[in-house]
Amino acid sequence: MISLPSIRVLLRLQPLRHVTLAVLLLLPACGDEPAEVVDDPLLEKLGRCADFNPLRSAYFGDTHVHTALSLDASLQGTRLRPADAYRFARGEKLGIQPYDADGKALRTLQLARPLDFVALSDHAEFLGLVEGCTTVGSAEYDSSTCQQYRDDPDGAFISLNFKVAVSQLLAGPPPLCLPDEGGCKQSALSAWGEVQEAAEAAYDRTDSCTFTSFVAYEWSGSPSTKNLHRNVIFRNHRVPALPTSYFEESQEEGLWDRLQQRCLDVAGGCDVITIPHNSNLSSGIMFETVDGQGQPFDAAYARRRAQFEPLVEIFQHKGDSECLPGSTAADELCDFEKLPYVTLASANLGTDPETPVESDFLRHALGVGMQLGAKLGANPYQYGLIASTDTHLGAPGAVSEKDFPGHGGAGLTVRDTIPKGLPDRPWFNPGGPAVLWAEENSREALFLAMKRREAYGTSGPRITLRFFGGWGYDSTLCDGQELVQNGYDGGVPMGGLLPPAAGAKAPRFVVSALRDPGAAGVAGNALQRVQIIKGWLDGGNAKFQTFEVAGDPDNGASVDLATCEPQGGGADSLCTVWTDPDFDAAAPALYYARVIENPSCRWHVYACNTGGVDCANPETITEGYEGCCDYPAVQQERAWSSPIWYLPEG
Amino acid sequence: MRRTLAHFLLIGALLFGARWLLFGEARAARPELRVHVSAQASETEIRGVVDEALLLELAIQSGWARSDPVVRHRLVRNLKLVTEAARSKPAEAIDSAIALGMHRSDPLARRRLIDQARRALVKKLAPVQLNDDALRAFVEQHRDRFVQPRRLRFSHVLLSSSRRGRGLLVDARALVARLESLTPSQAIALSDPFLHGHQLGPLAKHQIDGKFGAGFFRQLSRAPQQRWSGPLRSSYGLHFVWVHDKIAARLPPLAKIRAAVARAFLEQTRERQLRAALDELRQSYDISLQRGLR
Repeated sequence: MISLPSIRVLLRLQPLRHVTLAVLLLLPACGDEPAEVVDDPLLEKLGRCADFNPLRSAYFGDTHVHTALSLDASLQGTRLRPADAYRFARGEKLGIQPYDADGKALRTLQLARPLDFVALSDHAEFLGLVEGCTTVGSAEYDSSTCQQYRDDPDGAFISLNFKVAVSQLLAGPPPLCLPDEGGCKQSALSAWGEVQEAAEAAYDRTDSCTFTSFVAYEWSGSPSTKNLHRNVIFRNHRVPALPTSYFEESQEEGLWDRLQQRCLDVAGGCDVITIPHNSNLSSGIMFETVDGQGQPFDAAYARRRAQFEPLVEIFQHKGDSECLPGSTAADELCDFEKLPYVTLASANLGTDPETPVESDFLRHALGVGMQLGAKLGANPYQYGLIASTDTHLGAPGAVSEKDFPGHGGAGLTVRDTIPKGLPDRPWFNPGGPAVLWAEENSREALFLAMKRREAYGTSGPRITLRFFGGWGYDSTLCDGQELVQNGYDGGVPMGGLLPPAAGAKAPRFVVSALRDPGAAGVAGNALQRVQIIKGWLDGGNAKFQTFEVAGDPDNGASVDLATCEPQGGGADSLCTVWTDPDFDAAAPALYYARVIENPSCRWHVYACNTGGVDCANPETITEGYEGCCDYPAVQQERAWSSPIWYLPEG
Repeated sequence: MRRTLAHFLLIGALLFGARWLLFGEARAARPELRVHVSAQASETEIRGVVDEALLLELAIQSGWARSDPVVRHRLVRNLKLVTEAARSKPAEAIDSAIALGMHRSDPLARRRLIDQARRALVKKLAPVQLNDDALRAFVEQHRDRFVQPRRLRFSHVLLSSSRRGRGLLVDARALVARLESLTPSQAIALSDPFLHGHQLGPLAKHQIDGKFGAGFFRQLSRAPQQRWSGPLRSSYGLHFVWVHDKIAARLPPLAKIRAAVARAFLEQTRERQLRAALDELRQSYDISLQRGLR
């Protein structure tokens, strides 16, 4: 018999949707009590991959993916489950919704390039309910809630999601899943077991290290539909017995308490981070300066928050969260993929446009972080930056503008029929990859990269970006072969804190970017320019300035909107060593790089062209294509590095 | 010998006769099951439709159309749309709905009954035994699914097309002679900068193409080992390459792929068991395919 008693396999038979048939291998799950773990063969150390690179390689992935285990995805007709999502991430062509009466998918999707890593982040809320309502014979299946779930998915979407949109004082599970009713616990255990088993089966533990999976979930707190969501990602297969949901802990501090008790304080190697996303839809509450009890942050709180949250999603399906056009910390390139909404509900329902608030954006948070850091000695908002998709189709890494099928979730539901016209609401976008610099493609190496913030995000293309900060970089660094070695030797990579100046007058930064090489039949676009965005404290006020450091913003490049073919010049690579011309050694500061591609078509233009839309001729704007002419047709895709921080000595 | 042969023939004749009698009787008693399929249905599609028809019959024969709460709820709801009487007499409504064939025609009721029957079949399947020998045998039968991909370890010298512009080919020709006397480590100094580095691997196809562009792995895999060759074209320019190792595709140790193998083995075994159960169920009916009719 199988020799690992601690792995769980939950088997699903086709063509059943997802009947769990056997629990054959038991995955280790930590309870509330510390457990002794000896010689776990699945725990790993750095250096197990044949292509181990001490100077680190870039790995492209997606840390925000929903499958049929998520309530909203399930009710929208998504049938791909965790194992399917991993198959998709590794390059397999799969059918996606809608499905016909015989269960045949009416659309297919395939990545042009497989991903290196994925964290599936199904919602913790309703995990048991979804499993119970869709598994014949479960304890919940015959309940009225589940009957509504199956008979009236649109109604159930609203009535159930309401539970995660109530105020924090009222948060609680649906009646069906109250502890007195059994709590949907067996079904939740089944679903969480499937998450773990699928991750283990997909993880490449050979020395080829071709693919890494992470066990993860999403804590989906959204009081009054103001988004506070966090993706919870575990370092390895040692995870708590069940996810913590908004129903158990309605504030982020409570989530961290549970993770502390059920993971970090448990022997055996459990480790975890939480990644906030869509601050743009938090209506001002994601980056506050008081905790859940209304108490101002203190140093311990700030350190704890930074420990749990080394990264933040800057970009995804539901928009860009970098900076708000027209705000005090803005530049002209902030006008990019901004949602005209401030809450999840309004974005989801497409209500009348609202004016986003400056405090929902990362530049604001980074500035507040510097202020709190100066005051408390610890910065709670010392965020590294990543992107992801937030797909609700179970399709990680589906970021292509050309054949974007929508991502469901807050976007358009494609449950019953292929919609006429655009496949998603026009204010959404395909999202982008999370990129990590790590020694190898293993859980251990990638998790450590996330912890040290050596990470960046892009709006879709696979731009490669290095960013180092130090004091003595040679100005010819870009011309030689030792840029990376010297970058590490003479300073810190993205996500780091500058070392002491040692007599230097101003910090120097080396930034190097390589355009997306493209894939079969898909050319990568050229780079237009590189910017460094500096933030600093001036008399206690946070200020930001954008510097053009490489390339040419006036390179004349454009795109033919009829064919979406790029036109004009651009660069394969851009590199420079840049010195801050206005450095004040007494002022805390931060710097991050932004790489800008040449202009290209936004996703909806591809769809509108296919639909024969000509914005000059209203008769061609047929049903479903109404959004074609209301949104900018041309975009400039980009990459954002994690910042490098400077703190005055003392 | 002759006696033995005579016995053998006699027993054979008896068995044949018994089988004809028994099987013939059974066949004569088997009910007909009409299954509608489209005129263009493939063999696979026909099998799927027949399977569902068999499962639906099993569910109906088991009485679940009347006893299953989800089906009852659905049938009553449907009939309420037709007649007010269904509101006051749900039991009669279910009888009426079944008489009208709603349990077969309503998509949700039908799906529920089919799923119930499939679940009942699955519950009767023998438990699957996992052991290393079985898993190893499974891996051998499905090498393509578990093999580690072919990988290459190489060094390269890049001549960037955007840096060198029209001089790219001239520079490439000039570099050929210089490279001959240089080791990979020495030659890197002649390369244009490349952010992914100059000594890479071992890497698989998607990893190499992901850094250099589509088709680069294919070119590289044709290059000779332990000497300079090229130039190969990438998305960024021309590359002279030195292939250090070509690691053939190989099966990893079972311990490294156990979870993936176990999942695939279980799926296949369960599918086969279920197939066998459905085939057995099929023996209870005379299947009559109605092509293109409804």
